[in-house]
Amino acid sequence: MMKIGLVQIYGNDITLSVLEGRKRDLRLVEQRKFNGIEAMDDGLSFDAAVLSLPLDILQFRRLRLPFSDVNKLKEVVPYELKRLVLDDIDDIVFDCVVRDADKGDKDLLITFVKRGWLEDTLRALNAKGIDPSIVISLELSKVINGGGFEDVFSGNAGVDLHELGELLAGEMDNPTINLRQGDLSFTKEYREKVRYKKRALVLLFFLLAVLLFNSGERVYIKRKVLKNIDSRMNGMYTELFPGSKRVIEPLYQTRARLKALKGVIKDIEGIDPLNLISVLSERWSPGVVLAELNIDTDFFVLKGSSSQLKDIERLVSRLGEIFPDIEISETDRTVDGKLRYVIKGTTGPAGKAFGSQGEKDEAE
Amino acid sequence: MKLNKKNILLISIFALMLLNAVLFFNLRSLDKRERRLKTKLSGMTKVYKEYKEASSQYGILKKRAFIKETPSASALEGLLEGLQLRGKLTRIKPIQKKTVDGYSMEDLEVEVSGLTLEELVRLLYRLENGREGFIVRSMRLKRAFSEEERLDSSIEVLLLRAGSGS
Repeated sequence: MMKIGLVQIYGNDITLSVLEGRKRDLRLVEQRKFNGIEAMDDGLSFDAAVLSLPLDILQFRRLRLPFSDVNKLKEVVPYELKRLVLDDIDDIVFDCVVRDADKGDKDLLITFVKRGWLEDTLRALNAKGIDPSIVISLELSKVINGGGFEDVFSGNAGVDLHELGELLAGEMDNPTINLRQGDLSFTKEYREKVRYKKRALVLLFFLLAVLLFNSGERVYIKRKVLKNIDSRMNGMYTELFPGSKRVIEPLYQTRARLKALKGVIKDIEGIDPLNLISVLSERWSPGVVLAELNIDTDFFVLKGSSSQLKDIERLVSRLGEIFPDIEISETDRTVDGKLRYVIKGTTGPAGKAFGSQGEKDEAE
Repeated sequence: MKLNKKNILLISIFALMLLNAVLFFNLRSLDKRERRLKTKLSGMTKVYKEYKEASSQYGILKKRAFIKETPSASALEGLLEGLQLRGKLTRIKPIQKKTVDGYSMEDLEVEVSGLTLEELVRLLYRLENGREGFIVRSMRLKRAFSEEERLDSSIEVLLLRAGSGS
């Protein structure tokens, strides 16, 4: 639904008609008359505005030119018009209606109005919030569509209210003449487009600025986090090695030092034979004879014999409660029918419960 | 190009886009660095704990070196003498001697044969808990060939002391 404001000028009388409807079906909803443009209400607003001039304001000239190409005609018209008007060609605004004549010629009706008058009128309407997109003449349209160019010179043709909507719709779709041309062109849409583009650019600018601020803040925070992680690692390193001044890669430096320390510990770490012997005696299985016991830093080996395999297995099972990593590694029969065995166990991490000499000292 | 408002705005937008792009790539590289550092930090925390534990263990072991008397092979002979096992000593064999972290370490292999179980227990107890500060590194125990009730033992002990060595 469009709301169109039609301004018609008859001398000093201004008629403002408000029409509503679809593009091809406009209905008159209101008509008001004013005594001069200055008397019009301020702040009028329409979806589109049209200025219609009466025949008595317009001036006409007829031409017959031997061209059929309309573009070529338009190029020639200003020069032809110079001969036909008293005013300077730059002081008028014109448009023409072209019709076919005989012998392939074109019959032209040139319509013009004084530029200064039109400029003043448009400026005055603009001041009231009306910016006509086209400057037409409904009367001219009615006359030309009703007959020939000759009727234009015969006098004023009034436009009835009932035909206003139909005439205006037709003129808005395809105007007979439009004097809003050249430097008087309707630029409101263009200006609005420019304004929207400018607003979009300003908006983009602020958006990018906000984004930049956000990214900058994130970079700042991230750098702080990284610095914090660095200082935490350095702090751990200097806590472990207070005398150290060159801290480049705390993780790798600490790893190297840990490796060296573990090497030293391994060098001076002892075993706890009494404790192991005590555990063995507590969990020994009857029927199993121990011939040899080897105890090393991480493991122990039991060698001996038994008459039955199940006795050896029972022993391994009972020792397995303390040393989970224990197994029978060898068994073989001797000439006297006994079963020789070799049992290997680990006192490493699993042997923690069993305890090393160092841990015992710590407990004490 | 004229420096009108529109062009200044366009130049500013271009500069902002450029700066945003720089910051974007900077952030990406910082993200990568953060992930790397976090992995390192978790590794560092683990190594830190391990080092503390090892350091504490080392501290305990070092205490054994703080003895008033200078440990030596003769101290080992004296220990056996005190247990009246001097006669059962087959041999004392030095294995290696080195200095680590300011501590002198001397490995010795002691062979004692024909021990009863009670004598073996007394010997091990003195080695582990005596004020001489021996550390038992390994032990081989066998039933004696001649007498099954008795035991032949080969014990590797470490003599640890602070200083440059005996």
